[in-house]
Amino acid sequence: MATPGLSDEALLTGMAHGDDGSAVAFVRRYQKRVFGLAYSMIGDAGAAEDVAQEALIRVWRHAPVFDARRGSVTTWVLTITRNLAIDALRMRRSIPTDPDDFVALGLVSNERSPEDRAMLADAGPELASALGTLPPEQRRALVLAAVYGRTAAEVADEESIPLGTAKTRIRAGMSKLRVAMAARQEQS
Amino acid sequence: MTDERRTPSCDDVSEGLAELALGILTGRERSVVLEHLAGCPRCSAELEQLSVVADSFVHLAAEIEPPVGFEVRLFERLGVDPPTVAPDHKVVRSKAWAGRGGPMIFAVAAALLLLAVAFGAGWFSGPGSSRGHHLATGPTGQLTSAVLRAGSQNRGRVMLYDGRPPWMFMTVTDSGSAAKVTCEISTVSGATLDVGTFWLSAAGYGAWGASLPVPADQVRSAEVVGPGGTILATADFTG
Repeated sequence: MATPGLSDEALLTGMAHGDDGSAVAFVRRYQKRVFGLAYSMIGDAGAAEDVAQEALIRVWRHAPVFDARRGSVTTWVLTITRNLAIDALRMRRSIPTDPDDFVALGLVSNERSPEDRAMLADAGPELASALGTLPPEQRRALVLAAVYGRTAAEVADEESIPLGTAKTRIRAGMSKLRVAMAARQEQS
Repeated sequence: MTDERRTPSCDDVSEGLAELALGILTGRERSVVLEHLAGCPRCSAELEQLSVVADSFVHLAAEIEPPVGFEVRLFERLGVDPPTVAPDHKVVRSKAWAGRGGPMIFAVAAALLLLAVAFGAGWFSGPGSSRGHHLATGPTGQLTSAVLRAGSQNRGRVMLYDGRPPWMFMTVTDSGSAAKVTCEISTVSGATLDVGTFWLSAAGYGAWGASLPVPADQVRSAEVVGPGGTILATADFTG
């Protein structure tokens, strides 16, 4: 049986070789994050569970081909979850969670694990604080694009703004976030 | 014939880099940006930085405890041997359980669900007897299970726990209905009682539980009733 102290990559390797203990440990490590992201996006527990289960099944299936050079396990797992949640939302043709609520929900959550707080120390605080400094309309456009996968045209449609304005908000917002996060990397 | 196309410049693609990093750039715009990136290290480096920003958004979401039974259902689908202890019995967020004994009932439910699996009860297994049968003995009572059926179709499982208090737990699958449904039980004395309501997801799935208004051994059948009184599925415990 795998121990909780093994790295994400080690657990993925174990899963890839059919070790049930690794799969159990991995699921227990990630289920709250995966379900949390799905629920934060969809706003329905049943649909969020469907998404979370499918995401973890895909992780289990694709564990043998995970490439650590392309990013962290956490980002990989959460991106799979996000993409599945986007698919579920597109079937519903709606965004039940307000983009501002998505950001607020994550920032006020008091259930973060030590591992997640450690991860947030890498990227979260800068992203969160930089998001807080953006004009509300820029922040909404960015969250719609970055979290909900909305294209600039879809953002324009949902926010009732011209396409050019939507593109500008997305580009300007991303540029500010990049500068803020790059500044922190230079400091560390 | 002259090819009038020119190589896109950094200025041409600057706007598209952010959208490409976010994965929302499509069509010809995407082709133009990719063409430029193939020969521009500076823009490639900027794209890499923007991608780090884009990837960070998923980390903003809150951690939330999944519904009870999440692990059991997942491990069943994965074909992984279920663990002997369920960690997901600690926190319960299902509104259906609010005010009905909550976490303690869920803790027992989670433990007994695992007992059911451990005893080879065949949760989510293929068609079998639709009659109720004894699965296991829990801390204070017995667990009985029956297949939830719509005609000959398996639509999930209902479990009755004859404890103090008695309660029931059901999982509905592939009901073909995304709606608010009601659980009704019929008792051996002929009464029909409304136990509670819950929602089925867009995929027709739902997991729900509640305290029973009568002892578990008094339940003859449980029904999932859809809008307009349509009976979506029935579990028979008279066997």
